[in-house]
Amino acid sequence: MNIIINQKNHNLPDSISSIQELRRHFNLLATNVMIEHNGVALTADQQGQIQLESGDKIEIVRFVGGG
Amino acid sequence: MLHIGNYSFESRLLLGTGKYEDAQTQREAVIASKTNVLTFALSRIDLDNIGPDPIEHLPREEFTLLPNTAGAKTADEAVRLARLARSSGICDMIKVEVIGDPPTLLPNPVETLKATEILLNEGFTVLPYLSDDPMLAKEAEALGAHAIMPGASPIGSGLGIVNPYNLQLIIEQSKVPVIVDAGIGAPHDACEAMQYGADGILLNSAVAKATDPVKMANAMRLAILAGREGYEAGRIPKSNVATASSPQENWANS
Repeated sequence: MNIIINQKNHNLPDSISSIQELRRHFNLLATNVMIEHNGVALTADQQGQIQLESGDKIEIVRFVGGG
Repeated sequence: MLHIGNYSFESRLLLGTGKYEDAQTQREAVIASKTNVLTFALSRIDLDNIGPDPIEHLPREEFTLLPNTAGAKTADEAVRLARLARSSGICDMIKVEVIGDPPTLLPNPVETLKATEILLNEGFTVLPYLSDDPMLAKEAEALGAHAIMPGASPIGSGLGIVNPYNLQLIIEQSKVPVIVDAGIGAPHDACEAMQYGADGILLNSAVAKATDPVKMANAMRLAILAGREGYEAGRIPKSNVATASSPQENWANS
């Protein structure tokens, strides 16, 4: 399955169908991140309801230092 | 107390979290500043090099987070970043920052006001970063912005208040808090803005890039307290002629 994450193409195993599995795949389960799916920012609850499909666009961001 | 929307803060200093040399210095500077509000930016995570949480050394739960929309060039991008920040579930305040081009990095007023309006409709507590233009401040206030954040001078420049006339007009006309944001270089700049009646100061570089950031954080804290006290105390009017403070008796030999 092809997913665009942070503007880069990623060919992922078809077994990854949820945001949770995606986070596990990239070792992000214990990292504070915020996720946008096809242009929609997802709350923690909403993350559990998304079914990933090929061609989906994901942004994974986090807080960094800034003024 | 500083009141912004539904929030109340003891400290009138809002502190940025960028540009520090090391995590320990930053932590100590944050503590020395006695701030209640820390600003952050959002950045895409590098999936090939996740590394530690860039802000894990700061006890986030002790502060109100004020994320910014740095990186946005348009209102749409700022709105996306604001929604992402809020999706964290730990903040609903947003500093709307839509930056133009180098070398000034001045805010794009058209896009900033557009984003402000959209985010206000979505229930955010919105603090737009604007140039020190009284008309822009009026427009933002009319939209319902919870505070106005005029820049004293360009971000990171340390030039201090380059247009005290405009800044004072904004402070006098505004019914919402005025937080002077960007360009503060030294404690006297912060003190000056507070003496004019600003409600707070947001700064980052002036502390982070000082020779001793921890000491400077405390100096800024004191300057802001002094300026606020001075404002509340009411300064004397300026006069072009002297008024003696001591008796003016004539002691010449006659």
